[in-house]
Amino acid sequence: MMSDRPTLTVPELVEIMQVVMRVGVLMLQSGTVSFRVEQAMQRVAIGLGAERLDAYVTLTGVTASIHCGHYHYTQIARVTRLGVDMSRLSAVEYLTLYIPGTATPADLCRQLDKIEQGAPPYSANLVILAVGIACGAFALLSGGKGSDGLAAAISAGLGLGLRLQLQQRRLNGIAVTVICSAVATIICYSMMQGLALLQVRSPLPQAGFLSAVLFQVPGMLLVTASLDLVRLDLMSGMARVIYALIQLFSVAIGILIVMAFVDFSIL
Amino acid sequence: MSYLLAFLQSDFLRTGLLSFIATLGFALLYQVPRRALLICATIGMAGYLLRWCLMQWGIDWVAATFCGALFVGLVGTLPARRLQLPLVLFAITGIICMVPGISAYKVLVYFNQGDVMGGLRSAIETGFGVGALVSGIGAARIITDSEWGFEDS
Repeated sequence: MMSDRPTLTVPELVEIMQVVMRVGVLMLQSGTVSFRVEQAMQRVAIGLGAERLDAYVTLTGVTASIHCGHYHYTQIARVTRLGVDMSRLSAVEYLTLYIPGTATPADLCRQLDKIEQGAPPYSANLVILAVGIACGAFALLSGGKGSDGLAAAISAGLGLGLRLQLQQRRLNGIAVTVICSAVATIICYSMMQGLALLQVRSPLPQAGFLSAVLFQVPGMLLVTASLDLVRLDLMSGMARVIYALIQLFSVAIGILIVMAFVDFSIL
Repeated sequence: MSYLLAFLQSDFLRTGLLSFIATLGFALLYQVPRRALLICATIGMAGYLLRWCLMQWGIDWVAATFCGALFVGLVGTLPARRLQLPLVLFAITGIICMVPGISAYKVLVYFNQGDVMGGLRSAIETGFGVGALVSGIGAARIITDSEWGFEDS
């Protein structure tokens, strides 16, 4: 297929592989489906002149072999710090779709640097405000009154603010989730008690309580897990399901810790 | 006619507005690129409203959730192609309103209170909800994307 291309030497193959692995790790960290990661890695490898790439992508690591002529080279990359960043994902995928024929590995590395260092499109404060309002909207959608929506919005916003802070300090993910759901529940509880003093009582306070921690729902993981499983990428799909369950349980543990101390049932 | 007007003024608009805001919030959390933001929120609102309407007409909520997710998965392919953005971006923000987060959290809380039946009910409810979403998105993907529908040689 690539007969017009000169056969690559091993050092060249290694250089190409560094770019391919970086693309794979970046896309996986942005939270996309394993199949898309494999596709993008193959596009980069072939675009840079390799004959073939076999990639095996799981949630926490990428293994790939690149082939050209008689040579082949295999590399493993560990993936940590999983998150969701759609704008980075879009930028990397766009880059892999339109690789110019003259591109060198160094060119792509420079473009990847630019994507990695680029600021996210929305500031933390804007995200906190939007997610707070969204959680308030969820409280209203699940049958709460205006006061529930307000309490859920404020506690979700504060909880997310704390979450972003703790994530920046690289605290263990489970610990972050437990702490933030506990804090959001405490804030929501105190606000409801305060509103009760002002004679604003809600007939269905549960809606507010549970919406206050909705910002930690692993919605993205559940969807990507299912898409992996539909593709029969079983390893990756199972890993995502387990990860989603751990997050759900962590949130519930945070709520339970608070409920053990305050005399209030959220059901 | 007046019946239709009253219907529009009541819960329909309220539900639509709230689901629009909720989807928008999560789209910002996931750092969706600016040019896709309002499209995402609109798809999320349309999917949620479709589910809501079907439920109002007395269709089982699991089937309604499946239809909503299928709709989101199918409609999401149009802007994804036009704006050259990953398909998964529209699918995920679109269904976020339908994720049964509240009943998922209830499972452990019920069990902790010794209410085994309540816990099981919530767990099964969550399982059905997630299953419906997943099969809707999966079906849409198999219909629209030949790479997903047929295994490559």
